[in-house]
Amino acid sequence: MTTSVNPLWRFRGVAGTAWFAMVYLYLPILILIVLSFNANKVATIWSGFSLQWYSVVLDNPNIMRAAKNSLIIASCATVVSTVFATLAALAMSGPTFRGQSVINAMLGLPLLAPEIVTAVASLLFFLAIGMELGLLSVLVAHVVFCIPFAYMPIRARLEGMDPRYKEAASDLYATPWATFWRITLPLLMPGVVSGAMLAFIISLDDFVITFFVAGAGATTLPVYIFGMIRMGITPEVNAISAMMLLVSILFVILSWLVGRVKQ
Amino acid sequence: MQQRQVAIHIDQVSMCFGQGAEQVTALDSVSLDILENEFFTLLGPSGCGKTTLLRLIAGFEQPTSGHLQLYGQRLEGTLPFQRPINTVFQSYALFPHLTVAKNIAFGLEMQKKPQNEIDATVEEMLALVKLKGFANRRPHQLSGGQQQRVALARALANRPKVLLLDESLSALDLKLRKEMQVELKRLQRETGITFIFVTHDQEEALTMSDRIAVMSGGVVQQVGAPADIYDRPVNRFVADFIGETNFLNAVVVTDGFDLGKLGTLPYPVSKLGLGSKVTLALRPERLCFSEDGLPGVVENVVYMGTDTIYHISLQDQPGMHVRLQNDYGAQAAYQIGNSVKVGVLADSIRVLED
Ligand SMILES: Nc1ncnc2c1ncn2[C@@H]1O[C@H](COP(=O)(O)OP(=O)(O)OP(=O)(O)O)[C@@H](O)[C@H]1O
Ligand SMILES: [Mg+2]
Repeated sequence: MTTSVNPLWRFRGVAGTAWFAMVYLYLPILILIVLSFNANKVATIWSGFSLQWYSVVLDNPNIMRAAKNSLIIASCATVVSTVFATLAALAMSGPTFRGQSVINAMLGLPLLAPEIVTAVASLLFFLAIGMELGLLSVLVAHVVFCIPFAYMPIRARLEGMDPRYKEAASDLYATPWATFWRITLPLLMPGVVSGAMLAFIISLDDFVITFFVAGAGATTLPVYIFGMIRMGITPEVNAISAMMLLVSILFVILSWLVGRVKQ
Repeated sequence: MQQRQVAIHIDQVSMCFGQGAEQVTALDSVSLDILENEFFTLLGPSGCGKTTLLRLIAGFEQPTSGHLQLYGQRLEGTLPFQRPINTVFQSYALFPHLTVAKNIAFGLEMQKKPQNEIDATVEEMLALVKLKGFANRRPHQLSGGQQQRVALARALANRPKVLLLDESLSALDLKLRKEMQVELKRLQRETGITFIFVTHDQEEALTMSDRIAVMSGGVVQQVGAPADIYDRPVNRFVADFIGETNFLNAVVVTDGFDLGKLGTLPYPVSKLGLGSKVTLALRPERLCFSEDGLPGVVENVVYMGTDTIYHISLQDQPGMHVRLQNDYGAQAAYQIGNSVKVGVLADSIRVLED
């Protein structure tokens, strides 16, 4: 035998449970995608294949404005949070300093904090400093929760990096600055890119925090969809959701591919 | 001979890692002078501090105490990139995202050399390490031996004042290794670069070096030319580590060494204290069989092609090996179980005082 079979499969019911779990996870999404091609005006009754809801979505100026907001915020939040995350990762991998482990834990904490708490806290903060709610407040809030997501892959990449490379560069007459640009950063790039992609989809998908801190005119796509849903589930909602899903999946796959590229 | 300049002066250098109970002394008060254009080898068992000493010279680490000089200039406070010293790392440390050619060019680019000079040097180095067709490969597309040669080329391309080589031939097969040994020696002669070479292969050390420092446990045991080290080891460690050695336990008496039940070995002992215990070191190839030798029994006969090694057991003493050159076509002189007498000439005895 050349291929070894996981002995777990021998137990009765394991395969069935695994299939059930997969179906449980993906069936709703599948149904949503299928229904987005439904010709019927009532979203849940199938009456034939059609792309009309996609064109309705693309023709709706409100949706397009929300999509534009989402993209602007996600792009800006990605750039800013990735820069912060990279700097933080570099600082954490440098010579050890007092309180390093505390700071490391604090960097990961937002991943664990209930989103609603962060949302309320952000709102309170903006009100307290008298900041007007709008695109800027959304951006600031997004940068905050995107940092830990961007930080993780960058830190992992940096941890796995052989310290000898830096030494070799230094041995070959590279100043610390040159070493950073010529050696450290290029080697870190896959981590930076996958961190940035993660930050991008996290920002693009966020609803709770955005809902709290977005003022009028800063509506993002998820917030807009929520507004539409309150009028009932329309095939239009299915179509937007399917399109967002496509973008997210693309990014997840890209991030995975980039992360996989060794060195 | 003209007086050669001291390239690297190492003065009372100690290096400790860790703190408190976990403290490790990697180097213990090491003093060495390494001369200009010398092929100097650090030889010693694993963990004796060879890499640590190289790292101090390269500047990756600062000594706990003592200081280093490069051509008379103190090295404290100068960072690795400010030192005209290059290293061939034990683990190669080739930049994985750069091609072979870019790796070799790296040091020259950092020194802002003109591009045509860089290109020419890279070509020259690739030819030197026999990797001409490999310029555009990435390190992970090379074998271990090829990577090692790129690491060598990358360091040499800079024509440093001192080149540090940490077991730089260890990944090569025997043939390539011999070729690179010759090549390294030629380079060292022609470029005037001082080579500090680390190895734990004693044969490599003996054949290549101008001088060798034998190290053990962070301490330099002996420094000298290969023949010095081999023929006149100063202590039991050096005698044992370099080549094969027989040891006999002896007590100094008026006319020689008392070997217990084996009797007395005649030797001019004038400079030795009567009654003191000493260890005698004898090289197997300096021994022979003769009528007035030490009585023993042949335990084993090992045929080695050019030589045959006889394992002899002795009363009261550890066993000895006697190495005799084979005459063409001749049979072994003795068989297992034969009684023999091992002849020891006075001038082949090294006396080690413990
Ligand atoms: N960074 C470090 N921290 C703690 N101990 C260290 C460190 N570097 C080296 N040592 C210790 O110092 C001693 C000397 O190590 P070194 O690497 O110089 O040995 P070496 O002679 O090069 O051995 P090898 O032939 O195996 O390469 C060893 O006992 C090692 O464990
Ligand atoms: Mg070593």
